[in-house]
Amino acid sequence: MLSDLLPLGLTGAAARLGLEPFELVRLLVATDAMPRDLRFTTEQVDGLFARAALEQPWWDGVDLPEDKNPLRQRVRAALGLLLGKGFVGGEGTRIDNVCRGLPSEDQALIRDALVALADEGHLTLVPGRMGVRVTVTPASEGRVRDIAAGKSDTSALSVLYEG
Amino acid sequence: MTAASTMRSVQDALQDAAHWRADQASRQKAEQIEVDQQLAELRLSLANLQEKLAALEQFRASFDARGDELRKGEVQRAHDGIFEVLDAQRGALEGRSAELVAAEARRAAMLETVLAESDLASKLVEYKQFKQSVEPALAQMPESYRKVVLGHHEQVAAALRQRVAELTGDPVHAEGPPLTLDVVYAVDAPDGVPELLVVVTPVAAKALESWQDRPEDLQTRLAARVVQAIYEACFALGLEGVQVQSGGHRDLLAIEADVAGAPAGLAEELGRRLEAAFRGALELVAAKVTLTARGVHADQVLGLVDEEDDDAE
Repeated sequence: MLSDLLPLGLTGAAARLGLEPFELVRLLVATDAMPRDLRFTTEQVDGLFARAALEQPWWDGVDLPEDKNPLRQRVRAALGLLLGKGFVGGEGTRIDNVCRGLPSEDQALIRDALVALADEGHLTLVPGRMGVRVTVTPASEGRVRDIAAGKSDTSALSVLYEG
Repeated sequence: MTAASTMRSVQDALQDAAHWRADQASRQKAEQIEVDQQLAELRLSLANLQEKLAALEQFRASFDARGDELRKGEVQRAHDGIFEVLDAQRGALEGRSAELVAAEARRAAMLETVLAESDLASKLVEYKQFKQSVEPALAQMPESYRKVVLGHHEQVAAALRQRVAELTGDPVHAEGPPLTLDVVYAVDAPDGVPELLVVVTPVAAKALESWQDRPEDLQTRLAARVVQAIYEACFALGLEGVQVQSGGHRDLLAIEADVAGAPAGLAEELGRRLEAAFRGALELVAAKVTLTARGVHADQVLGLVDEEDDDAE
């Protein structure tokens, strides 16, 4: 019962932020905030949330599109959210913002899909000190909309959907 | 009587010349035979010498190949030796890690008793009442009332958290003997240009699986310090977009990063950052774990690539 009163460790802080532990370490190094004892107050963790441009989960209340393939269903939804939030060109958003709050298998699926689409040029990944950001490549906006709508797939996504 | 003619005739002269020639020809023939014989003997000797030369050159070349085999043999022995040592260290680290998780759990369990006997006893009672009775019913409360209740609870919790932080300020200390462990690192630069950074640890590869579902332990913290050092080194050298990846290598946790374009000196910088991260980590000090960062050649960490497979690619 008193566990909520204990200082957060690395994994507790990572869970609170919806990050993998090593990504949290990256952010701590990037913001020169790595503690000597690997313990955090909730205030420190919440402060990092803002500094790192982390966002609250996007998926609360999201209806998944009708699709016979559950993997494609999730990827289409993720692309729909990315488009719906206006991340076309520009600086985009952290790649982990796209899948925060989802079960780990879904997070892995969506990350793989985003990377596959980036390899094909439809998304742009921008690595930086604070992590990787993703945005829809402007020239591919139409294609990505089609993929989100279920009207087409890419060869890499088709392979991914085979599971 | 007519004196027998003693004058030589032309025929005599011609015969003399022919005899001389035959005689000379015979001598020449003999000389020629002797020269031919000597030539044949010399040619045979030369052929034998060339055969010996070829054999010696082949033998000499075998020393170069044996030298390469020695190099490969050393690399393979070093690779195997490194992983045998790290695997043995993994066992010791797992034991120390489990010891500390249990000690942390015991300390956490004692907190309630300590708080109940302190000046915050009443707040502890309030906190527990909230968790047991009030929190489950929060959703049914009117919003204005819920805000008041939550606000008060947060004040109570903040006071308790501060006291808990004071009580748990020091990391739990290990009771066992000091452990000296190694972390092995290398920067692979096959054409002289850095491509891949790899660090192999004595942490079990499975230690980070399902991290959300189990208590944080020393293995996770050690791995975090390695990642800290990697990012510190890379950022210091301008490699801001580097992304670490982790996985198992012979059942041990290996942490890698694509460092294409890295300047020379990355390995040295990484070594310094690893040593500093380990020295400054209070949790490692409390765990009585001393870590040594050892830089090695990439082949000794990655193992030798089969040249036939390499050619096939």
